[in-house]
Amino acid sequence: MNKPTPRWLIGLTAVVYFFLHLPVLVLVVFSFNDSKFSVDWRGFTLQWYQRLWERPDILRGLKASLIVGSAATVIWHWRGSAFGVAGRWRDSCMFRSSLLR
Amino acid sequence: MPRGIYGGVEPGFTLANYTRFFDPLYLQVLQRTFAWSIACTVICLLLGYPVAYVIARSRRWRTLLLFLVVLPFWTSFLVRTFAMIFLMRDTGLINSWMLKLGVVQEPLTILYTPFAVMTGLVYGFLPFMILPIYASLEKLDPSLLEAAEVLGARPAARFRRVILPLSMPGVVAGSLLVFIPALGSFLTSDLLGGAKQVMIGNLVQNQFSSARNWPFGSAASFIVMALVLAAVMWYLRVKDASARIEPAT
Repeated sequence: MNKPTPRWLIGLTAVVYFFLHLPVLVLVVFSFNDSKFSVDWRGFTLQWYQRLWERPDILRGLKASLIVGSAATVIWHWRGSAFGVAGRWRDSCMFRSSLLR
Repeated sequence: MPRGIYGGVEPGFTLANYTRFFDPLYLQVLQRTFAWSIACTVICLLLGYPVAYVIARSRRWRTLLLFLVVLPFWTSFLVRTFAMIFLMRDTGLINSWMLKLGVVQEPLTILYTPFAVMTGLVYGFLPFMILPIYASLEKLDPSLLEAAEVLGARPAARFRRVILPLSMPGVVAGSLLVFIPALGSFLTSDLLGGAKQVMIGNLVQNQFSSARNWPFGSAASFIVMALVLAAVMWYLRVKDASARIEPAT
Protein backbone atom coordinates (compact mmCIF):
# COMPACT_ATOMS: atom_id res chain seq x y z
CA MET A 1 0.00 0.00 0.00
CA ASN A 2 2.46 2.63 -1.04
CA LYS A 3 0.30 4.26 -3.67
CA PRO A 4 -0.05 8.02 -3.27
CA THR A 5 -3.28 9.29 -1.77
CA PRO A 6 -5.53 10.70 -4.52
CA ARG A 7 -5.18 14.41 -5.14
CA TRP A 8 -8.85 15.26 -4.63
CA LEU A 9 -8.80 13.65 -1.20
CA ILE A 10 -5.87 15.78 -0.15
CA GLY A 11 -7.57 18.86 -1.57
CA LEU A 12 -10.76 18.12 0.32
CA THR A 13 -8.78 17.60 3.50
CA ALA A 14 -7.06 20.94 3.03
CA VAL A 15 -10.43 22.66 2.60
CA VAL A 16 -11.78 21.02 5.77
CA TYR A 17 -8.72 22.06 7.77
CA PHE A 18 -9.07 25.60 6.48
CA PHE A 19 -12.72 25.60 7.56
CA LEU A 20 -11.82 24.26 11.00
CA HIS A 21 -9.17 26.86 11.65
CA LEU A 22 -10.45 29.98 9.93
CA PRO A 23 -12.48 31.27 12.92
CA VAL A 24 -9.63 30.82 15.38
CA LEU A 25 -7.13 32.34 12.95
CA VAL A 26 -9.33 35.35 12.42
CA LEU A 27 -9.63 35.70 16.17
CA VAL A 28 -5.87 35.66 16.65
CA VAL A 29 -5.13 38.03 13.78
CA PHE A 30 -7.71 40.58 14.83
CA SER A 31 -6.53 40.57 18.44
CA PHE A 32 -3.63 42.66 17.11
CA ASN A 33 -5.92 45.07 15.30
CA ASP A 34 -5.67 48.71 16.28
CA SER A 35 -9.38 49.40 16.01
CA LYS A 36 -12.30 48.75 18.27
CA PHE A 37 -14.57 47.94 15.35
CA SER A 38 -13.53 44.63 14.13
CA VAL A 39 -13.74 44.60 10.34
CA ASP A 40 -11.39 47.33 9.20
CA TRP A 41 -7.70 46.77 9.75
CA ARG A 42 -6.01 49.79 11.30
CA GLY A 43 -2.55 48.43 11.89
CA PHE A 44 -0.72 46.30 14.40
CA THR A 45 -1.06 46.84 18.12
CA LEU A 46 -0.55 45.06 21.40
CA GLN A 47 -2.81 47.36 23.36
CA TRP A 48 -5.50 44.71 23.94
CA TYR A 49 -3.01 42.41 25.56
CA GLN A 50 -1.69 45.23 27.68
CA ARG A 51 -5.22 46.04 28.83
CA LEU A 52 -5.76 42.41 29.70
CA TRP A 53 -2.83 42.56 32.11
CA GLU A 54 -4.12 45.71 33.71
CA ARG A 55 -7.42 44.19 34.78
CA PRO A 56 -7.24 42.32 38.10
CA ASP A 57 -10.67 40.73 37.63
CA ILE A 58 -9.59 38.98 34.43
CA LEU A 59 -6.37 37.79 36.04
CA ARG A 60 -8.38 36.45 38.97
CA GLY A 61 -10.64 34.62 36.53
CA LEU A 62 -7.61 33.12 34.80
CA LYS A 63 -6.28 31.90 38.15
CA ALA A 64 -9.63 30.33 39.04
CA SER A 65 -9.79 28.59 35.64
CA LEU A 66 -6.31 27.17 36.09
CA ILE A 67 -7.13 25.84 39.56
CA VAL A 68 -10.42 24.26 38.44
CA GLY A 69 -8.82 22.81 35.32
CA SER A 70 -5.92 21.16 37.13
CA ALA A 71 -8.17 19.86 39.90
CA ALA A 72 -10.55 18.32 37.35
CA THR A 73 -7.62 16.71 35.52
CA VAL A 74 -6.22 15.18 38.70
CA ILE A 75 -9.60 13.88 39.89
CA TRP A 76 -10.51 12.44 36.51
CA HIS A 77 -7.14 10.81 36.24
CA TRP A 78 -8.05 8.66 39.25
CA ARG A 79 -11.61 8.04 38.19
CA GLY A 80 -10.64 7.36 34.60
CA SER A 81 -8.12 4.75 35.68
CA ALA A 82 -10.78 3.14 37.84
CA PHE A 83 -13.18 3.03 34.89
CA GLY A 84 -10.47 1.65 32.68
CA VAL A 85 -9.81 -1.24 35.05
CA ALA A 86 -13.55 -1.86 35.42
CA GLY A 87 -13.96 -1.80 31.64
CA ARG A 88 -11.26 -4.39 31.12
CA TRP A 89 -12.78 -6.54 33.79
CA ARG A 90 -16.26 -6.43 32.22
CA ASP A 91 -15.24 -6.94 28.66
CA SER A 92 -18.69 -7.05 27.13
CA CYS A 93 -19.59 -3.48 28.05
CA MET A 94 -21.49 -1.77 25.24
CA PHE A 95 -19.61 1.47 25.85
CA ARG A 96 -16.35 -0.29 25.16
CA SER A 97 -17.50 -1.99 22.01
CA SER A 98 -19.12 1.01 20.39
CA LEU A 99 -16.94 3.93 21.39
CA LEU A 100 -13.43 2.74 22.02
CA ARG A 101 -12.84 0.42 19.15
CA MET B 1 -45.72 18.66 38.81
CA PRO B 2 -47.58 21.93 38.34
CA ARG B 3 -45.78 25.18 38.06
CA GLY B 4 -45.94 27.68 40.93
CA ILE B 5 -47.13 31.23 40.36
CA TYR B 6 -43.69 32.63 40.92
CA GLY B 7 -41.93 30.12 38.73
CA GLY B 8 -41.17 27.58 41.43
CA VAL B 9 -42.22 23.95 41.41
CA GLU B 10 -45.11 22.79 43.54
CA PRO B 11 -45.70 19.22 44.60
CA GLY B 12 -48.45 17.34 42.81
CA PHE B 13 -48.92 15.10 39.81
CA THR B 14 -49.94 16.16 36.32
CA LEU B 15 -49.35 15.11 32.75
CA ALA B 16 -50.27 18.56 31.42
CA ASN B 17 -46.64 19.39 30.70
CA TYR B 18 -46.34 16.37 28.44
CA THR B 19 -49.62 16.96 26.61
CA ARG B 20 -48.66 20.59 26.13
CA PHE B 21 -45.57 19.51 24.24
CA PHE B 22 -47.68 17.89 21.52
CA ASP B 23 -48.64 21.26 20.19
CA PRO B 24 -47.92 21.78 16.47
CA LEU B 25 -45.62 24.64 17.41
CA TYR B 26 -43.35 22.46 19.53
CA LEU B 27 -43.63 19.49 17.22
CA GLN B 28 -42.36 21.67 14.41
CA VAL B 29 -39.35 22.65 16.51
CA LEU B 30 -38.77 19.00 17.32
CA GLN B 31 -38.98 17.99 13.69
CA ARG B 32 -36.61 20.75 12.64
CA THR B 33 -34.14 19.76 15.35
CA PHE B 34 -34.12 16.15 14.21
CA ALA B 35 -33.82 17.07 10.53
CA TRP B 36 -30.90 19.39 11.20
CA SER B 37 -29.13 16.97 13.48
CA ILE B 38 -29.39 14.22 10.90
CA ALA B 39 -28.23 16.57 8.14
CA CYS B 40 -25.36 17.73 10.33
CA THR B 41 -24.34 14.14 11.01
CA VAL B 42 -24.42 13.28 7.30
CA ILE B 43 -22.38 16.34 6.32
CA CYS B 44 -19.87 15.65 9.08
CA LEU B 45 -19.59 12.08 7.85
CA LEU B 46 -19.07 13.13 4.23
CA LEU B 47 -16.43 15.69 5.19
CA GLY B 48 -14.89 13.82 8.09
CA TYR B 49 -14.44 10.41 6.51
CA PRO B 50 -12.04 11.58 3.76
CA VAL B 51 -10.07 13.61 6.28
CA ALA B 52 -9.78 10.65 8.64
CA TYR B 53 -8.72 8.52 5.68
CA VAL B 54 -6.02 10.96 4.63
CA ILE B 55 -4.71 11.19 8.20
CA ALA B 56 -4.63 7.42 8.53
CA ARG B 57 -2.79 7.10 5.20
CA SER B 58 -0.16 9.71 5.91
CA ARG B 59 2.97 8.75 7.74
CA ARG B 60 5.10 11.82 8.14
CA TRP B 61 2.31 14.30 8.81
CA ARG B 62 0.04 12.11 10.94
CA THR B 63 0.89 13.61 14.33
CA LEU B 64 0.63 17.15 13.05
CA LEU B 65 -2.68 16.49 11.28
CA LEU B 66 -4.19 14.88 14.37
CA PHE B 67 -2.96 17.73 16.49
CA LEU B 68 -4.63 20.21 14.13
CA VAL B 69 -7.95 18.38 14.46
CA VAL B 70 -7.89 18.81 18.22
CA LEU B 71 -6.45 22.31 18.19
CA PRO B 72 -9.78 24.21 17.85
CA PHE B 73 -10.83 22.77 21.23
CA TRP B 74 -8.25 24.95 22.87
CA THR B 75 -10.58 27.87 22.33
CA SER B 76 -13.99 27.73 23.92
CA PHE B 77 -16.87 26.89 21.63
CA LEU B 78 -18.62 30.11 22.60
CA VAL B 79 -15.67 32.21 21.51
CA ARG B 80 -15.40 30.31 18.25
CA THR B 81 -19.08 30.83 17.60
CA PHE B 82 -18.60 34.55 18.09
CA ALA B 83 -15.74 34.38 15.60
CA MET B 84 -18.22 32.77 13.18
CA ILE B 85 -20.58 35.70 13.69
CA PHE B 86 -17.69 38.02 13.00
CA LEU B 87 -17.06 36.19 9.73
CA MET B 88 -20.64 35.84 8.57
CA ARG B 89 -22.14 39.18 9.51
CA ASP B 90 -23.49 41.47 6.78
CA THR B 91 -20.46 43.66 7.43
CA GLY B 92 -18.32 40.66 8.32
CA LEU B 93 -15.10 39.42 6.82
CA ILE B 94 -16.59 37.11 4.19
CA ASN B 95 -18.91 39.76 2.88
CA SER B 96 -16.31 42.52 2.88
CA TRP B 97 -13.86 40.30 1.01
CA MET B 98 -16.47 39.28 -1.51
CA LEU B 99 -17.46 42.90 -2.03
CA LYS B 100 -13.85 43.92 -2.59
CA LEU B 101 -13.27 41.08 -5.03
CA GLY B 102 -16.48 42.00 -6.83
CA VAL B 103 -18.08 38.58 -6.39
CA VAL B 104 -21.26 40.20 -5.10
CA GLN B 105 -22.58 43.72 -5.43
CA GLU B 106 -24.28 43.96 -2.06
CA PRO B 107 -23.69 41.96 1.12
CA LEU B 108 -25.23 38.53 1.26
CA THR B 109 -27.29 37.70 4.30
CA ILE B 110 -25.50 34.71 5.78
CA LEU B 111 -25.97 35.17 9.48
CA TYR B 112 -29.35 34.23 10.99
CA THR B 113 -30.18 31.74 8.26
CA PRO B 114 -30.47 27.95 8.44
CA PHE B 115 -27.25 27.82 6.43
CA ALA B 116 -25.39 29.67 9.19
CA VAL B 117 -26.71 27.31 11.85
CA MET B 118 -25.77 24.28 9.80
CA THR B 119 -22.27 25.64 9.18
CA GLY B 120 -21.87 26.28 12.88
CA LEU B 121 -23.08 22.82 13.84
CA VAL B 122 -20.81 21.09 11.35
CA TYR B 123 -17.91 23.27 12.41
CA GLY B 124 -18.43 22.44 16.06
CA PHE B 125 -18.88 18.68 15.77
CA LEU B 126 -16.62 17.71 12.87
CA PRO B 127 -13.67 16.67 15.07
CA PHE B 128 -15.94 14.25 16.94
CA MET B 129 -16.53 12.52 13.62
CA ILE B 130 -12.94 12.55 12.40
CA LEU B 131 -11.31 11.08 15.51
CA PRO B 132 -13.25 7.81 15.92
CA ILE B 133 -13.14 7.11 12.17
CA TYR B 134 -9.43 7.73 12.20
CA ALA B 135 -9.06 5.37 15.16
CA SER B 136 -10.75 2.53 13.28
CA LEU B 137 -9.01 3.24 9.95
CA GLU B 138 -5.64 3.32 11.61
CA LYS B 139 -6.06 -0.25 12.85
CA LEU B 140 -6.94 -1.48 9.39
CA ASP B 141 -4.42 -4.03 8.24
CA PRO B 142 -2.82 -2.87 4.95
CA SER B 143 -2.28 -6.47 3.89
CA LEU B 144 -6.06 -6.85 3.57
CA LEU B 145 -6.00 -4.13 0.94
CA GLU B 146 -3.12 -5.77 -0.84
CA ALA B 147 -5.06 -9.01 -0.82
CA ALA B 148 -8.10 -7.27 -2.28
CA GLU B 149 -5.94 -5.69 -4.95
CA VAL B 150 -4.25 -8.93 -5.85
CA LEU B 151 -7.67 -10.53 -6.12
CA GLY B 152 -8.60 -7.90 -8.68
CA ALA B 153 -10.71 -5.43 -6.73
CA ARG B 154 -10.78 -1.95 -8.24
CA PRO B 155 -10.28 1.06 -5.92
CA ALA B 156 -14.04 1.66 -5.58
CA ALA B 157 -14.68 -1.97 -4.74
CA ARG B 158 -11.75 -2.04 -2.32
CA PHE B 159 -13.27 0.91 -0.52
CA ARG B 160 -16.80 -0.44 -0.46
CA ARG B 161 -16.07 -4.06 0.37
CA VAL B 162 -12.99 -3.78 2.60
CA ILE B 163 -12.30 -0.32 3.99
CA LEU B 164 -15.84 0.81 4.69
CA PRO B 165 -17.09 -2.33 6.50
CA LEU B 166 -13.96 -2.48 8.64
CA SER B 167 -14.27 1.17 9.63
CA MET B 168 -17.95 0.86 10.50
CA PRO B 169 -17.34 0.95 14.29
CA GLY B 170 -15.70 4.34 13.86
CA VAL B 171 -18.50 5.59 11.65
CA VAL B 172 -21.10 4.47 14.20
CA ALA B 173 -19.27 6.00 17.15
CA GLY B 174 -18.65 9.24 15.25
CA SER B 175 -22.26 9.51 14.12
CA LEU B 176 -23.50 9.10 17.67
CA LEU B 177 -20.96 11.57 19.01
CA VAL B 178 -22.16 14.13 16.46
CA PHE B 179 -25.88 13.40 16.39
CA ILE B 180 -26.59 13.44 20.13
CA PRO B 181 -24.85 16.71 20.99
CA ALA B 182 -26.25 18.28 17.81
CA LEU B 183 -29.75 17.48 19.04
CA GLY B 184 -29.07 19.16 22.35
CA SER B 185 -27.17 22.17 21.08
CA PHE B 186 -28.69 25.56 21.74
CA LEU B 187 -25.70 27.85 21.53
CA THR B 188 -25.16 27.62 17.79
CA SER B 189 -28.79 28.05 16.84
CA ASP B 190 -29.15 30.87 19.34
CA LEU B 191 -26.15 32.89 18.19
CA LEU B 192 -26.04 32.06 14.49
CA GLY B 193 -29.73 31.40 13.89
CA GLY B 194 -31.34 34.29 15.70
CA ALA B 195 -34.95 34.02 16.77
CA LYS B 196 -36.21 32.21 13.68
CA GLN B 197 -34.17 29.02 13.85
CA VAL B 198 -35.22 27.69 17.24
CA MET B 199 -34.00 24.21 18.08
CA ILE B 200 -35.24 22.04 20.89
CA GLY B 201 -32.22 22.98 23.00
CA ASN B 202 -33.23 26.63 22.87
CA LEU B 203 -36.75 25.70 23.87
CA VAL B 204 -35.56 23.82 26.94
CA GLN B 205 -33.07 26.51 27.84
CA ASN B 206 -35.78 29.15 27.57
CA GLN B 207 -38.18 27.26 29.76
CA PHE B 208 -35.55 26.97 32.45
CA SER B 209 -34.21 30.50 32.25
CA SER B 210 -36.47 33.25 31.00
CA ALA B 211 -39.84 31.47 30.99
CA ARG B 212 -39.17 30.02 34.45
CA ASN B 213 -41.28 26.99 33.73
CA TRP B 214 -39.09 24.20 34.99
CA PRO B 215 -41.74 21.46 34.82
CA PHE B 216 -42.39 22.09 31.13
CA GLY B 217 -38.69 22.36 30.40
CA SER B 218 -38.13 19.05 32.15
CA ALA B 219 -40.96 17.43 30.23
CA ALA B 220 -39.53 18.67 26.93
CA SER B 221 -36.02 17.47 27.70
CA PHE B 222 -37.31 14.13 28.94
CA ILE B 223 -39.26 13.62 25.70
CA VAL B 224 -36.12 14.43 23.73
CA MET B 225 -34.09 12.01 25.83
CA ALA B 226 -36.60 9.23 25.16
CA LEU B 227 -36.54 10.00 21.43
CA VAL B 228 -32.74 10.00 21.36
CA LEU B 229 -32.69 6.63 23.07
CA ALA B 230 -35.18 5.27 20.55
CA ALA B 231 -33.24 6.74 17.61
CA VAL B 232 -29.92 5.36 18.84
CA MET B 233 -31.35 1.90 19.40
CA TRP B 234 -32.94 1.95 15.94
CA TYR B 235 -29.63 3.07 14.42
CA LEU B 236 -27.63 0.35 16.16
CA ARG B 237 -30.15 -2.28 15.12
CA VAL B 238 -30.08 -1.18 11.47
CA LYS B 239 -26.29 -1.22 11.61
CA ASP B 240 -26.24 -4.73 13.06
CA ALA B 241 -28.68 -5.97 10.45
CA SER B 242 -26.64 -4.51 7.59
CA ALA B 243 -23.43 -5.91 9.06
CA ARG B 244 -24.97 -9.36 9.05
CA ILE B 245 -26.05 -9.14 5.42
CA GLU B 246 -22.94 -7.46 4.06
CA PRO B 247 -20.34 -10.28 4.10
CA ALA B 248 -22.74 -12.67 2.37
CA THR B 249 -23.09 -10.58 -0.78
